[in-house]
Amino acid sequence: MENFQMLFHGFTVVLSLQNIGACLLGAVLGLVVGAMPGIGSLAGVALLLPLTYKFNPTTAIIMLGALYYSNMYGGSFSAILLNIPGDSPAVMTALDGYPMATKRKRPGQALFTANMASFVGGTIGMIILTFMGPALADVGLHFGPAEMAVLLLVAMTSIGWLVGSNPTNGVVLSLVGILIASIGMDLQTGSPRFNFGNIYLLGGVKFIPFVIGTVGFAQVMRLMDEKEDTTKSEITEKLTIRGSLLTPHDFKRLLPPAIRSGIMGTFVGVLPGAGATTGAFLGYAMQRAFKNEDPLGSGAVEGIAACEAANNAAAAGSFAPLLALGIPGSGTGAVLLGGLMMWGLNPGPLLFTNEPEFAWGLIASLFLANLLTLIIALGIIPVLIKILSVPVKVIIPIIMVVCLVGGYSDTYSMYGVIIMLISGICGYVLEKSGFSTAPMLLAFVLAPLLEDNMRKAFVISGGSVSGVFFNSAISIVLTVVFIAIAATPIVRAILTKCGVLKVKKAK
Amino acid sequence: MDLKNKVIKVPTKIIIPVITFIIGAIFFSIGAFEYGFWDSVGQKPTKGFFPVIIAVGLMALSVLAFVNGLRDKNKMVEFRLENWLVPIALILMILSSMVFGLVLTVAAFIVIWLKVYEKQSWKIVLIALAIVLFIVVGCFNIWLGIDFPMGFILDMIIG
Repeated sequence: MENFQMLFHGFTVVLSLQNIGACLLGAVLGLVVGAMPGIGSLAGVALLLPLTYKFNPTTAIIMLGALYYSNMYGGSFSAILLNIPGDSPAVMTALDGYPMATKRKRPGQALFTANMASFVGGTIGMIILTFMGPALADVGLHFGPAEMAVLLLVAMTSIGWLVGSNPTNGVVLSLVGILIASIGMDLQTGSPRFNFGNIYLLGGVKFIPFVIGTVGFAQVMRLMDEKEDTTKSEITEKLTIRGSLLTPHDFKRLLPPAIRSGIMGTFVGVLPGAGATTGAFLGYAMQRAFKNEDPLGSGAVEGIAACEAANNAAAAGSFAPLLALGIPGSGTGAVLLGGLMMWGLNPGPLLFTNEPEFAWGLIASLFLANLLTLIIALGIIPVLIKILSVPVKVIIPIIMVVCLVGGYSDTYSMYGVIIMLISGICGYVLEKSGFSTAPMLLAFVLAPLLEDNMRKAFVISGGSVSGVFFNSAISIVLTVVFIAIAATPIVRAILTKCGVLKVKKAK
Repeated sequence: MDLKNKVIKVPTKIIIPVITFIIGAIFFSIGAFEYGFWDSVGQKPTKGFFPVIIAVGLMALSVLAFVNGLRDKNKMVEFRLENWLVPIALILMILSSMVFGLVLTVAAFIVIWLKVYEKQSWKIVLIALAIVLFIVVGCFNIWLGIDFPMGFILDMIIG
């Protein structure tokens, strides 16, 4: 009951004209950028981060939350209308969305189904978040510096392990991200560190240019591969809002899978590295066990509802560890966390106690963003094909300019642009070579927190390693998990060499 | 030269671990020998403590990644030369904005890229130009209040 009271308090924060306006702006931009082919939610959120400069911290955070959340809606549009998933969670949506739009000649209803299921899944995720966030924070309050340090190590290594095809590469880039974050000032002594005599590096590597480069600019370089691709829709019908409305029977088919997947997706979202994509896959897989009016894969309403509800619920669920423990579940979550920290918000167990306006305002803004995004998503159905048909070769120079001004605006100098350019080139080369950059971003954001906790833990233990990693039951469990995750690539390499494991042949 | 089909192959799966190893070695040597690892008087870690631990881990895992890269049958990664026009164009924009100013530079860039390189119609070029000017001037300059460099020519004229 207390949680609902706090949520109500959050709504009183959110429901000011400026905050509703910021939420609306975030929802519209997130939706359009999420819908555009080739950009994706990670690059979308990164590119739009500088727009929050205008606002006070609470409003900025509300806009960020809306941006992140509405991006999750956008990915399904191109999956349904063009059979091109806008982001990885929408891969499953395409399986039934595209056949429903083309074979069954119901493109509007397919979009409406995706939007409604996203809304239902998201709402379920947010309701669970309302309870789970503070509960996780209560657990987190029992964590001292040692436990937090090991927990952060687990989060970093698990993301490195889960994202991308090669766990070793993921962990290597996590460590590189930590070292990049250590450039600048030592926060505990206030003295320069690893600035190599460069005056600009005294302030460290700036987050916004770094993230815009690593994901946004690198994405533009990758888009050059797709610039000749045509994105012509096979849909000839004119899309209208009235023609897209679902029948009561469609609603009956939509709700049960959306509710089931919404609950499941939320808990998947809480796990580090799992996130919206895993949620969508599991939601779809779970739906196979239930009765479907049409076979899955042939344009079934149930198929679209299951994966869309699951991925939006997972997006909402990932806020629980992010707010309560300061641990994002994905690269996009890491960018969002970086944005929150930039605005002075320190996610962690004390957040709900020390900064309830921020925490509950953000959760309330997610509810508002969910509703606003649904309304906007339904409203733009008639013009969606036009938005999606924007040629990639036209998008490329526009995003380049956004990267340039975004990099500049953070530092008011070309230093930010140069950071953006270098990180962009590195991001492109790394991704092309099979090194996923998401773990590096996550590590870059979490590194100051990890270092602070680790140094405090070693001071408390008087330099004893066992005093840090084995000082309590929580530490022991987390250390065992950390060792298991960290040792997996090495053990796997040894087992492969001994012939116990077989190497997968590339298709 | 036809950049669109020109491809270079680079063994980046081997080169990247070498670079990360060197990064680890640099951070280790500065961290351990310049900043120190442990303050034995105050019984606390120094500012080199954390980076040194991470650098050691990075060097060890870089060796593993290097070995994996050597064994990888697809270690040669293909890079299309055309993709590198993007950073080259950005470098030219940085240089140009110092002379002509950032707003003029991005406007000229959009026209040159879309009209000359991509051979798009004037209608598309002008729509893209309007969008870019709305973002740069409308959002960033007027709304967010960010002053972009005007370039030394305009600076000289204004005095």
